[in-house]
Amino acid sequence: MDFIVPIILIIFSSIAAILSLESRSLVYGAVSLAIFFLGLSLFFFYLGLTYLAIFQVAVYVGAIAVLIMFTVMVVGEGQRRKRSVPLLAMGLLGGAIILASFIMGISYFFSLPNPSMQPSFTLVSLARYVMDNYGLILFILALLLTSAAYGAVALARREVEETA
Amino acid sequence: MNELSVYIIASVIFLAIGVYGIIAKRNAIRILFAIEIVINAANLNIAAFARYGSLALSQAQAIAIFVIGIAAAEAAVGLAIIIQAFRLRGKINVDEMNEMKE
Repeated sequence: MDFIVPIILIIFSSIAAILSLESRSLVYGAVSLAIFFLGLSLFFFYLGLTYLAIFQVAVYVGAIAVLIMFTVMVVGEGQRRKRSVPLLAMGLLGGAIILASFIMGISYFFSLPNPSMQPSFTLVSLARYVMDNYGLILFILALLLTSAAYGAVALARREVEETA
Repeated sequence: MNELSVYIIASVIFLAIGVYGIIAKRNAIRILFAIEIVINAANLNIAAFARYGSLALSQAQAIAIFVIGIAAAEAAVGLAIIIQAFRLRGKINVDEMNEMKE
């Protein structure tokens, strides 16, 4: 039984989750939340649910975390600080690490043997499974997302001030 | 202790962190963070039961994708409400949003 990887992921994700709630700046909190989402996607990768991990990264890290960060910026709760050299260096280092992992991940996937070696479960089969078994739920979910987007726009739009 | 229990413990830890945030925090955006953590804890549970329990992998991924979709909708509406509250009041402290009590 190999518990090392899950325990490392638990520690990593728990620290990120706690920091997202306890950090002084909301911007750092939003970044920590994005890191927590990334940790969860690593959990899914480790558990063998690859497509769920990709969805997690695409929806949570790619959309929700960015949306939250945008809202934090709009609300203006973030601390505005002068650009410091250590923070800039840390940001550059983090960006370089993410870029290197991205390149390594892509090169790993391209170095894999032909995907037809694992015909049992592909994205097409997942899509067919969802459409065959959960078609109505998928339709309702699409309606929900559309109405949510419409509601969000209606709530957040700037009201035209009436002039007397 | 089997491997499933490790993931259930992880899920419980995340759930506890999320519930703490919902109860203890007063900033609306922090509460939204906590809700997202709780939803992700539920997704981790689904994934763990798919891997080590009786739930099929495809079924678990389908359910988790639906959960992610609903969470995305919830986050969009929640953030829009927060922006509207900030525009009306200038603050997003939930302690001060008590107009519906009156």
